[in-house]
Amino acid sequence: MKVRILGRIVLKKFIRNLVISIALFILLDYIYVYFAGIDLKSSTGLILWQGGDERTIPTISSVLLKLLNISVIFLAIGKNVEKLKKDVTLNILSRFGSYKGFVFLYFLAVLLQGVFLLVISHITYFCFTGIESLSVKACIDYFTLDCLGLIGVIVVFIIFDNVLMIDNSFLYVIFVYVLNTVVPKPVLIAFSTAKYIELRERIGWWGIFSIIMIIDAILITFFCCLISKRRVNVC
Amino acid sequence: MLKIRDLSKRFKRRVIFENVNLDLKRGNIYGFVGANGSGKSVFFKTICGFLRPEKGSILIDDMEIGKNIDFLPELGVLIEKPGFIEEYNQLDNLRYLARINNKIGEKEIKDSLEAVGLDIANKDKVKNFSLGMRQRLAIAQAIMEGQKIIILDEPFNGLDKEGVEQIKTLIKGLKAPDRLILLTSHIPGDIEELSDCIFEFSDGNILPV
Repeated sequence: MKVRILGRIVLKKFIRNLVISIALFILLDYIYVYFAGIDLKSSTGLILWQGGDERTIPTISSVLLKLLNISVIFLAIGKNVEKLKKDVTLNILSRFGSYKGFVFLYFLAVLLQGVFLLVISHITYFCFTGIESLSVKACIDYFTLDCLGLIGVIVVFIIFDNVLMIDNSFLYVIFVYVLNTVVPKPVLIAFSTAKYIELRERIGWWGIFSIIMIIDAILITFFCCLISKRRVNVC
Repeated sequence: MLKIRDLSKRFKRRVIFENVNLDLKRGNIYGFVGANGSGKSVFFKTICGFLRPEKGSILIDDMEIGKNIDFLPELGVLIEKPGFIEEYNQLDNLRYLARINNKIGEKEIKDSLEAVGLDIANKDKVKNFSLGMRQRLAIAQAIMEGQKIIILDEPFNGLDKEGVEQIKTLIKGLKAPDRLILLTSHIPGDIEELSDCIFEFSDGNILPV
C-alpha cells in the first residue's frame, strides 16, 4: 500500500514535467532535423547521436542535440526531486516509518523517471527521422549503453544533490557530458555518441558494456552504503 | 518521554545547535521560541529522525531514533512550508496521506478539516489556496490520525486573528496525558499561553525561559 501511494504521488508530480519534457524533445529534434540538414527517412538521416550509425560523421549540431536532450532529462529529474523534497516529503516520511524503504523507493522512482525520459527522447527522434530496418540493431545497441550510462550518472547526480547537498548539481552532470564530448579519453558513464563510436572501434560493444556495468555496480553499491549510514538527505 | 541527549547538528562549518539536553514529557505542550534562522526547523527535523545529528541521541520511550526506530512514532508534523500535491483538492490530499497507514476513514478526515476551520465542501485545487488555508490544511494532516506526538513549526503563519484564536483553541483541545505537543514561533507571545514550558534558541543553545 505504502509503495503504491508513494508511486502515485511521484507520478502525479511527474506528469506535468513529462509533458513539458516531451514538448522540448520534439522542439529540439525539429530544430535539428530541419535546420541542420538531415535528410528524412534516408540513410544519411541515420541518427548519429541516437542510433550510433558510423556512416554519419558527428557534427557540432548532433553533439549539441545530445547534450540538450540530456539537459532536459536532468532538468526534469532535478525539478521533480526538488519538488518532492519541498512539497510532500515530510508529510509522507512521518507516516512511512522506514527511512531505508522510503529512500530506496524514492530514488528508484527517480531512476525510472530518467530512463523513461531517455526512452521517450530516442523514440521522439526516430519519429522525426524514421528508421531503416538494418539500423535497428545499431540503435538498440547504442540505446542500451546510453541507458546504462545514464543510470550511473543519475546516481552521481543524486549523491551530489542529496548527500553533498550541492546546489544546481545537474549543472555539474551536464559539465561532465560536455567535457566527455571534447576530452580525448572519455569517462565511460557519460559519453556522447561520437565517443561511443570511437570507443566501440577500440574495445568493442561488449567491452564498453562490461565497463559501464562495473562502474554502475560500484556507484550503486556506494549509494546503498550511504543509505545504510543515513547519509542521504530527503528533506 | 522524549529524551534528547547531547544533541548537536551542523551544516558544513555552521553550528545549528550543540549539546542539547532536554526531557520532554507526554501530557505537556512545549514552546520553542527563536529568531528566524535560529535553527528551530532543523532541530525539529532532527528530533523527528528526518535529519541525522552529528552527535547525541534521541530516545522516545527508551527507543533510540536511528537505531531502534527510524522516526518518531505516531508523528504529526508541520515543519516549514506546508507541502501538498498542488493539483489535488484538500480532501484528496488528506485521503492520499491517510491511505499510507490506512488507520482512519472519511469521517476522521472531514472532522480534521472542520477542526481547523476549512470548508469540507471546498473542491478547489490546493494550488489555489491562500497561505492561511494551506497552513490550516497542514495542521489538519498533522492531527487527523490522532497522532500522539505533534510538532507544529510556526503554526500561526499566514493566519488572520480569528484563525490564530481558532488554532489556539484547537491546540488546547489536543492536550492529552498520552500526547506530546511541540510548538515554535518567532513571536513568543503567540505560544506563551499554550505552553507548559518554553525554551529559547540562542547561539546554538536551547535554554529554558
